Amino acid sequence: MQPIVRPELATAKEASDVDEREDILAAQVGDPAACRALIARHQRSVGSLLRRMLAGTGLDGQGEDLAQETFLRAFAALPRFDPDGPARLSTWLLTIATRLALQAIERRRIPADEFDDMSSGVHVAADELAPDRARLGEAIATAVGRLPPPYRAVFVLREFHGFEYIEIARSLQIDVGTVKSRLWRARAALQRALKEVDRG
Amino acid sequence: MDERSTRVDVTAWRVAPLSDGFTDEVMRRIDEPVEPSSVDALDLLEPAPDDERLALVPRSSQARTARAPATLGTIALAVAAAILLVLWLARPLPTEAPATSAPTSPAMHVEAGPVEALDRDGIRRVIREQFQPAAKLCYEVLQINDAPRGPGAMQRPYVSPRGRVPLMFAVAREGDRGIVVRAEIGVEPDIDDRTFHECLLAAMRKSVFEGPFSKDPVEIEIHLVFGPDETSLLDDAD
Repeated sequence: MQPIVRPELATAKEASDVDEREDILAAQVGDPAACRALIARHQRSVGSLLRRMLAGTGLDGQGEDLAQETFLRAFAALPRFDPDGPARLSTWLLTIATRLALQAIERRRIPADEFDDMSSGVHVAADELAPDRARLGEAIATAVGRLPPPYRAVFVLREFHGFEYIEIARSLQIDVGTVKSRLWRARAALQRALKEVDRG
Repeated sequence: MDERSTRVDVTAWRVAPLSDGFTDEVMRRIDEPVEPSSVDALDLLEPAPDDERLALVPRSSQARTARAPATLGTIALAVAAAILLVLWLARPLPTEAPATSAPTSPAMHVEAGPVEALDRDGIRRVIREQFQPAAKLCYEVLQINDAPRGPGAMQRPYVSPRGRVPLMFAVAREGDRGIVVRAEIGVEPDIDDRTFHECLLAAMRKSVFEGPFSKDPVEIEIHLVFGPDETSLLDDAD
């Protein structure tokens, strides 16, 4: 297949943004190929977010279901999505996914202190990693698994998905100050946990 | 807060990808109706909470400012405010709240709900016209209770309590109007005062909404912003 060349576009990201805009417009009128393209483009980040949000909550197996739910909700509302508006599709999808994860956790109503006990069930996909990196990944997964869900959501959105403070605030409907304080506490907790791993 | 001092390299935490059949499964279900939920994808396209939250005081006066301690004048005003508050809260309820099982999932922001649910403008109108005056009185009582007292009080600086208080409530249909069947303070209120919270909740429970209504109770979360108002406690400062 010949690559589509758009000389007027300065960067690959711009080209990607144009492709996505076209896919959104086509998906809005029900084009299955465009829907598939959007899923393909975003399923990795949506899936990763959900797996990290649900790790250690006892809901680890629901990541796939909630990822489906995320896309289904997005497609149902897509005709109202403005591809030229301020909201990016990726941010919107991850926001929906985060909310669904928090809702699922809330429904289970796990007391915050139970997260410590459950985090032993947190896993990391380590097969492609060197042993040291795998151990570090396991330690991070366990430490994040101990964070209460509201802190975890802020942490995951910031650290793994590059959300700006204001984007996290909008996604979780909290103040930017709350975002910063939760992020700081989450990182501090993570550092403490990792130091324990180092000593061990 | 130095962000660099708390940064952790988290890239070592890898997670398994979604299954190979994920796209096909989504496409198979794409025409299924989406179940109502507090996670409303359309609602998430709305403006940021900063644009939406209901400010009870002008933003310009929200800065932490030192105020003079309570004087006789302000104490008299507070007493009057407290009396008004008690009278307002003591007015008869339109009807008894029905025993209903409120939804357990938390509401996200101001939920519009299904087609026949409460609309945002209607909610804002009730908040502004019914709830806000009482909430201001609650805040005034809080300020007075919080002010320095006793010898030397006049010389001690007073910083008014200020900040955000999330308030969640559920509105259910009763006859041709909606009543508040549940109200609670949200997580991490900036002003953590039990009496103040109870005052706000009592005020909210008195509010009566106009339809149209959905079949199920509609859960609503509002963010109240309180701060020292240098002009008048009873001004509308929306």
